[in-house]
Amino acid sequence: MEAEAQYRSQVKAVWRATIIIGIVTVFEVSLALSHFFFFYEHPKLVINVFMTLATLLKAFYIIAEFMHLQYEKRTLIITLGLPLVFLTWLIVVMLVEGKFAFSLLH
Amino acid sequence: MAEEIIEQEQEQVAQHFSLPDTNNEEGGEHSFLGASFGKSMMWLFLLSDAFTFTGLLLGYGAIRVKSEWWPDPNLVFNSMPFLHGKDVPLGFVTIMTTILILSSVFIVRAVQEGHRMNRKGVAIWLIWGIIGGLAFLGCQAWEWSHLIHSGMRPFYNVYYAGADGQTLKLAAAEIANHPASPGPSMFAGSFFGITGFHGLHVTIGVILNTVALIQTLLGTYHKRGHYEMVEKFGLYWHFVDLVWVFVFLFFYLI
Amino acid sequence: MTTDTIPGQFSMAHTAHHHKQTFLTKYIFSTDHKTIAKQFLLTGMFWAMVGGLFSVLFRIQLAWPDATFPLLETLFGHWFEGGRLSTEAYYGLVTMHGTIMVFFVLTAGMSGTYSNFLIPLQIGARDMASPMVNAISYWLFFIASVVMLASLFLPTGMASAGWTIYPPLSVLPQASPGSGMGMSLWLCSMVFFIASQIMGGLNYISTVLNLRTKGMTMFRMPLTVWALFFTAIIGLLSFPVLFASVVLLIFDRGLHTSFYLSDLYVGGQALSYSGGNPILFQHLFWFLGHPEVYIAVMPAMGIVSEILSVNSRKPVFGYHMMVYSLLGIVVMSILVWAHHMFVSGMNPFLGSVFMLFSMLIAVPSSIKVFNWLTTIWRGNIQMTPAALFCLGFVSMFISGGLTGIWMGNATIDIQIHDTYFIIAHFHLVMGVAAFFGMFAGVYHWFPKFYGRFMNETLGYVHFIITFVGAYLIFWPMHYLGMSGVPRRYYSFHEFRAFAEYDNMNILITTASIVVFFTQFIFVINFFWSIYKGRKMKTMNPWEANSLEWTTPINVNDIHGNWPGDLPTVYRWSYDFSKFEDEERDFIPQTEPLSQREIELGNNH
Repeated sequence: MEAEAQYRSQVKAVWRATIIIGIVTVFEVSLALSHFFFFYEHPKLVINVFMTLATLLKAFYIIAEFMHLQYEKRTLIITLGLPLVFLTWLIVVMLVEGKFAFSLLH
Repeated sequence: MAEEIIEQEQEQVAQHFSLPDTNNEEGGEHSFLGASFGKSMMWLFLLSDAFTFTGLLLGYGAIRVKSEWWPDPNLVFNSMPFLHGKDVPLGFVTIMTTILILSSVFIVRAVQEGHRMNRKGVAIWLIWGIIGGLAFLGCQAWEWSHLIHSGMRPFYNVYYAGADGQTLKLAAAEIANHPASPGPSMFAGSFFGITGFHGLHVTIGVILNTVALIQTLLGTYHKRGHYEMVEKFGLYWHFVDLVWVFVFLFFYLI
Repeated sequence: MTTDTIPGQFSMAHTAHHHKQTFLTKYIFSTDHKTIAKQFLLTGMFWAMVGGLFSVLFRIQLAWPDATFPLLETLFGHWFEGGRLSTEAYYGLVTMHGTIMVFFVLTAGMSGTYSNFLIPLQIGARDMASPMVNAISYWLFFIASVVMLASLFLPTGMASAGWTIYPPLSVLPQASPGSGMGMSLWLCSMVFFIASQIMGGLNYISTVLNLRTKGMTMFRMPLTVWALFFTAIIGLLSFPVLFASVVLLIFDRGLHTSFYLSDLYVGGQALSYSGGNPILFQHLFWFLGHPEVYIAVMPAMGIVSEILSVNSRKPVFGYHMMVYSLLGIVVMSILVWAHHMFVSGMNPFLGSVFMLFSMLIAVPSSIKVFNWLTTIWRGNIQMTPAALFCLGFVSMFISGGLTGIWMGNATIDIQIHDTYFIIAHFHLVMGVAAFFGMFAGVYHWFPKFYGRFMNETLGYVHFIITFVGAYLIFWPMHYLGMSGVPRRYYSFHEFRAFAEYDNMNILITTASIVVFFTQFIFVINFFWSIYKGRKMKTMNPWEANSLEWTTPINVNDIHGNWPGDLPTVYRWSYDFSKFEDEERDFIPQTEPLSQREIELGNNH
């Protein structure tokens, strides 16, 4: 019976994550549209930051809940998480480089 | 005599192939990563694939940051099938995103049923997952063909900057008069390139899920005693979903 | 979740005993890690000969730019039209030399051979985690090899944009004859190669993590396994980014997108490309390209640590520091790539950050050098060819590594960038050094490969000539580079200032020809010893401690190591000369701790 209860709680957790992801998606799209319809003259930077954070939140739920990672052994989580440091550095470098190329051109 | 040798070999082979939990202190459940090697290989593969997609998206990002002007996605991705001429910014792509996320959820359900050894449940949820994948691919095909019909090519972008930086669209009849791309061609190039590469992943994912479905229906996994293969293919499918979340952000929202 | 059986392999277990092993299943489409290792080794040797030959060909051009060699025209056809190397062929040969040596020899030939061979044997596993993926990894490499080999024979010439394939040379088919079909085949081959490396890497990592035998904790593994494990990690994290850059390059070539091309004029005509950035490619490429250097040299580091310890009959000095410095190199290697691009037009501020990281990488590298030197310090050194090659490795690594500190400084790099100085630097530190590690490994594990020894006298001859020759080739290049002689030039005719280096170029070329032909001594020795070498009398000829020497070479002709139970491990693999009063100066890993050791307290 314990397995059955565990199964039920897992199913519940997945649907909960689905609803959260759905709400976040609606939030994102409405942010984008609100900028489009109401604040078109203003820079989009703040809204972009919020949308990126929302996407990271969705990514977290997909990885943690759908891919089941938050229930795995800690070593696996660390093994997969640490290399993201390299990615972060790559992202920083590339965006700085893009900006630098922009400043050279204009 | 010969039979004895065969028996011996059989034994050795069997021993060889049941290695992780019989002969290894750290094999099986007690392994370093807490996952069988098949699952850890899939995880590590996804990690490396994440690097591939980051490389691709960064290619797009560095170019976008460098460009002076970029078309407004709200004005490019604003059409819906069956609603010809109606302006629905981001409507269709939101539906696509929902479909892919739901399909991902269905696969999670299949994996959960797999843990309970519920063959029928696995099959049903896999079928739903595959339908979701195919629907997503269909949507993508429609979106691509819509853009291609309006004159977009990987090297040609019909959306160009107006005098105040607003997004204007070159009429189809005018295209012949503009051999060079009127707008930044990389808007189209990166869109087709990266969503295409993602679409390839989706296609592979659908094929993998179909393989899982066939083997489930044949009872292969049931005989094996676990549905780990569904889980591994499922990981891949969620990864495709994960990439789409970022593609959605970078191409459609920002 | 259960892990009773390994999914996907069960069917193999059923078929394995039904069929008698034929030549095809035993040597060609084998899933045995030992056979796959030999396949990688032989393919790597083939490519090493091709790559070496190419270097000799373009060195001849550099030494005698005006002379004609009718013999070479007979041998190589249109590359040597009129007996003189054509410019297209020169750039093609330079490109192919780099590609072949870096990717096919020092990546696939090196990691492929030693990871496949040593990981299962040294951690006590029957085979790799997934033998099938392992075999596929080799055959993808084989396809990559075939495609690359085919590109050599194109009438329009092979890819000639340098092994770094910078756009726009690599994107525009009109840029050079080799940028057409030759480049397409190069990219195609590279896609297969990357797939092969990723599959191999996944397998190596999960084998090390999941299949260690009883008692083999991570910190009891030999340093070879550590090094190969870390190499696989670097490959797994950096090859995908090369894949991304190759995919974008293919888009640019095939779909005319402009990821890497901004507005360009060729012959006064504006091309349709706009908006891209060639530096983007350089970043993505070097994100692999720099770790690639460590992919080449790290297996050699592991091999050297192991062989030096065995041959000086002393435990490796600072085992834990060796592991941590390897880890440090892994982390640093992926953070420093843009020091290849100081003069490319990147952001100078980023350049200074990369400079700092590049300097830091000297720390783990010098820890390793000190530990090798202290390992042999006052050791009972056995001068086998393998040990000599290891000493050669350390020497090359120091010589090449010191100039790395120069090159890492942006201020100095601006002066000597793209001169012969950099050629000298990287050939010493990761080219010749990695080759020395590879040779050492072959001499050391040849008995494990084939049950026979290689001829030692030929080994000594091979070592002396190669060692002296390597310094003769690359030492003078430092002087060339410091006086500003640029690399990748076909001829220095127009530069009167460089006329004084003509003799130096002749010296370098002569040495390289001698070194190239010396390698045939090794090849002949290798194949002769397979059939005629001195037979191995004991299972453990070097009196080493690690597990590979505790299993017979072939177990009943089916694949899987160790007849019967897998060995149990009780100690690390470096218990050499532990007690002076004991007759035997080594204690194998499979031996339980003695009473005396327990009383003394054993820390491994």
